[in-house]
Amino acid sequence: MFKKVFLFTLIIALSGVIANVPLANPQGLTVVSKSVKVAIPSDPRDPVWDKVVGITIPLSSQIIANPRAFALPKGKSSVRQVAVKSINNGKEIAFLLEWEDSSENAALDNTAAYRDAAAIEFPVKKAGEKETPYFGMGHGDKMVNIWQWKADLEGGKERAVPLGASYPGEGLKYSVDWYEGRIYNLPKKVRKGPVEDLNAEGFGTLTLQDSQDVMGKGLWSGGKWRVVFFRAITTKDKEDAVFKRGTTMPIAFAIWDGGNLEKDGQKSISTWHELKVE
Amino acid sequence: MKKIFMILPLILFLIVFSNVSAAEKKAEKKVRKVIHSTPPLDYVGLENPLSGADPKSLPDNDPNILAGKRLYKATCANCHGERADGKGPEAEGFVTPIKPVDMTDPEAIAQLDQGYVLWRIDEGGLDEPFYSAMPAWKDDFTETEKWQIILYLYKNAGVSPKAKK
Ligand code: HEC
Repeated sequence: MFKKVFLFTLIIALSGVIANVPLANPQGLTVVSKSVKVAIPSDPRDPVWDKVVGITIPLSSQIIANPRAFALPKGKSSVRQVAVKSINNGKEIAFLLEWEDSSENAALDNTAAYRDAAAIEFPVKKAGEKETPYFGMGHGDKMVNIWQWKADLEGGKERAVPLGASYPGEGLKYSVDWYEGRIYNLPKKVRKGPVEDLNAEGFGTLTLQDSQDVMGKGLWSGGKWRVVFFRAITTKDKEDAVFKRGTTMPIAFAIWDGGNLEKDGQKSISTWHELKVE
Repeated sequence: MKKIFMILPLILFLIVFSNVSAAEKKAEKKVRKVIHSTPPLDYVGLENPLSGADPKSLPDNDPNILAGKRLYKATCANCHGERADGKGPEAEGFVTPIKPVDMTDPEAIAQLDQGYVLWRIDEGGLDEPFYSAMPAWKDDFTETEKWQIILYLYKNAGVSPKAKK
């Protein structure tokens, strides 16, 4: 008799424990970076992506900090969602972003500021740091790493705009030498692709990294952009996002529609979601 | 008889345990809808200089209510919704750490005094413990406009502010 009751109690207790497992992030969504055994494809049309389950992240107009999207002719940004997929093979990690955009704005000229673009944001945490940076470009000394793809740098055009050259509508193109107390222009290096590897620690602090580690490729067809971003899963750069298989970390997104005269702070954004690296 | 002594504590234990676990489950299912904190001293006990009345009781055509409504619709309503329900056209992208607040929720502004609300309008969610999408409007409105928005915020939600501390 005692044995029976004991067993019964044990079962109840266990089922209680199991049913109580809390959800990590009840309001955010989770992007799962699927573990694959193949080479990471650089083409957004590669069939590898067909087997990966993605997730759709809702976006809203950036109306938090000035310049807000309210000031756009339409009073708001256009892109309302981005479909996200991710894969990694232990050596490299890649993200595929797909969104609807009726016009391709990829001309490289003096008004190049009005280009289509997309960005992925990750926190950069110093060892032992727990606090997550503010989702809108980080805050204080809490840094974020931003990967920004720009449509006007596609198709080999990136060579026309060396890193460090004057180029309208982007972040600061200089480094600060704190020891000497001076600002110097970055050496004019040839770009390797259409993605910039950036850091920020608050609104208006976007800075190009010395070490550009992110590659990518975008294709527009049928009213849709498909853009791949990829990077080595580990880099030596302390200002880079750190990916560890079997862990989760915050991730956020931004999309610019050049056709809607969006640039800089006027864009569509999300708050932090979760990236699970399988 | 002996058996009773053995089973009774177990039954008691079961009753207590199942209640606790049910309460826990409830708490976890309930998604956090507001984050309330302590305002800086400058904002504690502030009175609305435009009206001492309960904003909920002000008439629809009160000039401050009308002015507040115009400003609310152009800005706040994008996230908090025209009907104050937190379902504005720009709310969807801003889901973490919490969504734009449903102002009609008895746990929201009904628990706050007007000085606290002024603080949230000025500083937004850029700092702890919020780190949210709530914008800082400090430089976007005059002091009068902010108090007009606050009156309309309560009127529109149909709730009264908590008496100031
Ligand atoms: C970009 C979306 C957005 C806009 C626009 C916005 N808010 Fe908010 N607001 C939020 C979010 C998200 C929260 C919840 C997180 C927080 O409390 O910081 C919030 C919280 C608040 C709170 C706190 C309520 C509580 O119970 O704690 C007040 C008050 C508030 N908003 C007032 C306003 C007013 C007034 C305006 C217009 C001048 C406005 N908001 C515009 C997103 C927005």
